[in-house]
Amino acid sequence: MFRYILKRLGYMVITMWVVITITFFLMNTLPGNPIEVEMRKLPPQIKKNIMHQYGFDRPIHERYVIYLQNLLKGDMGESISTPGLKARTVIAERFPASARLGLQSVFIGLIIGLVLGILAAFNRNTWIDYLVIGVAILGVSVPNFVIAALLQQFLGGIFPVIGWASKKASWFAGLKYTVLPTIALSFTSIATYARYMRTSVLDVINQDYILTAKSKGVPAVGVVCKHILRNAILPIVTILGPQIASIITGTFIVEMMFSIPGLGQYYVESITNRDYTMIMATTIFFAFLFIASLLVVDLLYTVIDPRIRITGEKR
Amino acid sequence: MKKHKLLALFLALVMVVSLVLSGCNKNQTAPQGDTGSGKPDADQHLSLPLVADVRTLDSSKATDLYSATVQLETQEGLIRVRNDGKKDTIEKAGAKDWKVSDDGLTWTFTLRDYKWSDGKPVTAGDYEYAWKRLLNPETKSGYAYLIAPVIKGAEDYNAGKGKVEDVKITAKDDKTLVVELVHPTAYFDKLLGMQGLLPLRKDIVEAAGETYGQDPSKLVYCGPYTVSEWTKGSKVVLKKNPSYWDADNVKLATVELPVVIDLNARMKAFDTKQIDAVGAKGEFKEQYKKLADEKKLVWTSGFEPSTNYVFFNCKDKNGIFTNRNIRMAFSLAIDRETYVKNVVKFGVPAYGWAPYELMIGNDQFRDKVKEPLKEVKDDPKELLLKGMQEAGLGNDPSKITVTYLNSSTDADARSQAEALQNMWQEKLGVKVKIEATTDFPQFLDRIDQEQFQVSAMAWIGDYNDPMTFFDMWTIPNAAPGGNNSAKYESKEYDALIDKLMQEQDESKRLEMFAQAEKMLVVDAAAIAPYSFRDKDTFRYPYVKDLGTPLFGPIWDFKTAYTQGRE
Repeated sequence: MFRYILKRLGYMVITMWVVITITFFLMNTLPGNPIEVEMRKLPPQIKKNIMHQYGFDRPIHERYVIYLQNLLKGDMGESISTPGLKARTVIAERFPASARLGLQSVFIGLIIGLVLGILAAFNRNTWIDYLVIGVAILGVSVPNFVIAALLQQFLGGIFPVIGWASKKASWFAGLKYTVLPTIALSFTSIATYARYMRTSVLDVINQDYILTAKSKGVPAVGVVCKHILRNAILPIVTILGPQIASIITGTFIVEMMFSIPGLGQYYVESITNRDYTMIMATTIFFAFLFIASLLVVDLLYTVIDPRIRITGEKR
Repeated sequence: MKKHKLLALFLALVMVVSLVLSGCNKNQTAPQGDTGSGKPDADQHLSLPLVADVRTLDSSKATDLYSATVQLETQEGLIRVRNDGKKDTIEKAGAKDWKVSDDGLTWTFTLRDYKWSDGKPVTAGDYEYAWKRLLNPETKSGYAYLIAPVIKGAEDYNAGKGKVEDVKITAKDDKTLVVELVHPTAYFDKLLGMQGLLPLRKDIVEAAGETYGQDPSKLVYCGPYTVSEWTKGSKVVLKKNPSYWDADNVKLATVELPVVIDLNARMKAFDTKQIDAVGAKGEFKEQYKKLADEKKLVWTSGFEPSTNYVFFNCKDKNGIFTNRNIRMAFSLAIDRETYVKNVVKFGVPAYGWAPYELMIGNDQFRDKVKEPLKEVKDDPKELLLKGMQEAGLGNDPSKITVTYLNSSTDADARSQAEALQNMWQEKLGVKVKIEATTDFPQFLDRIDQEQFQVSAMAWIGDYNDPMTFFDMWTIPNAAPGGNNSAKYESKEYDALIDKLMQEQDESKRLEMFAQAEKMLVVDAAAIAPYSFRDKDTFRYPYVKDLGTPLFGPIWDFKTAYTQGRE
């Protein structure tokens, strides 16, 4: 087990290096530069001086080496469009909002999605099943920003349309601000989980061991919790990790619509501003979360399904 | 059928959810202040939106309007730009008075007695430090260029060639600031309102180091408000500064500035009174105007210091837009009335370069100078044929293809480009292709590389004098990275601008600016301005004395208050 994790961590480092390298070179091939965007009005000569101070006039491979050296020292650099702002500060300040929103919506999506999926499977070809399928189709095909706009239109006024809890407040403060964006984001998750759950429950209920359990006289709740849920949830776990990673990082439109000080919104902004240091820092962070979530999922498998063993371990 | 079912199901779901949610949320409405009419509310607070995030509280480094707004409302510079509802006015603020020497070269400011929020007095030394820090090349300020060419020794220092000792900004004593200028700059007082010239405390800046301006609790304030909270990407909260010299006239206890980038969210937040005032355009403007007619809202309309313009590459490698008559033909072929009313859908048609409400001395420039393109009655097609002959392009316009470079791929930009294409093709008989860059940095890059034929942009002025619209078209600015996007190069024009820098007499300046404008849009037809941007602000009737100056902060709420908020 320990060796396996060590090996995976090794792969992680390599993957990160590949991501960093590709992003660095791709980003620098984009036409336009941050000085031109931020300081458009400066006289050309002064712009040149500033480019020099930032080192943008050096060859790209030299900049790449310097960047990697700094990164190894733990220095992700400072924003160009926001002088004085450190990349790590941005992540520290902005990530909690994205994470809270993402976790809340995945949590709600997961609970409702699982329940709906199970209900649909057990009531196959009845109106309940059709309703769930209907919701699932809607949820998958209607983008979450459309849902967000509808929620703002109909529930704005009851719940705040914009805003977020103060920086110093605790994790659970300002719940009212999170209601609409959480619903908007959870809609897609509900749909995804319900669909997966329905399919995998249908798979499982036709298995012999369910029949056995039923005939042994295990009560319905027991069958569901002990036998069906445990076996049917594996596909959900597979998608859960990457889904959490992407939803806590990639909700920029919803973050923008509700004025949520999250990281997703900042990421997009930094690309349009060509804020090189911030593009790199956020990409590295996102990539790390994503890769780490894959590892966690693999480890979770063994906990949920004892049949899955990690290679190399003694049977 | 199935579609209907699904829709009905969805609506039912939305209804159920909303019923459930509204049931558990009865107590959410916050108690509001005094509703009696005639006297200000007991609880004085306002919420005003910012359409982009505040980036820094460091006044030497801020270049965006939103950071500037927070800085200008929390610090006190020499002057304060207010608006009387018609035009911007200059109010003496940190400066009690100032004198200008007869040659117009030496400005001596006398400061009033006022304090920083930590109790220390604001001194002339704080100004000297701040202005020199702005000019310091290490600061990499995006705004130093406004004062660098004006103050003696500043340009060399800012370019990294001169010494700080040679910059003629001197604190003669704690209350006297002396500034020596390169030439008698008639508009120097108009520059004083910019955030880069706010005073700074050396000890505070140095204590915070390179992260100065990111943590509001590490700053000191000398303006009407202090920053009590800044949640980046979400909001800035200001509180009244009790130690402000004019605190008696500051009535608001709290001002919230939420960052609301999304247009629909902003309007919804205004509808639900989460914010108390908002700027609106297009359909929202029409909707709110009706409410203003019913006295449910108060509507203020004015202009932005901004002009939208088409610009031609005067160095066009295809040898088409190098010709003045061809450029002029394209300019005249734009039916500005229809284009602005039906396609751009905000602003008013422009036939000149300098926008409305821009001042020269105490007059509005546009009141005194007619828009030059209004006088031109030439036929665009004839001009085109004449130009084609001069340029050796034959006499068949249909053989000419030009490419219009669009700055973005969004729907508005696309429909505007298509409308221009249509007008040019129909009226001139030429072929127009549209090419779009995916985002603005890419677009700027193309302009810098001179890889375009014709395109459009907007210019926003920086201070309340025509100079901010005219000095950009000089030859040095045509270099890559300069603002002379049309690559217009005229020694005659440059000489005129040089002369303008020396001139103090406002009536002579007016004449010369009128001449410069004519050179630019008629004689050379390097650019084709098509609209002046307008600005419509709506607020609830309980919001009183809220200003939206042309230059300066987006919201000026120094003396604002509420009365009769429910």
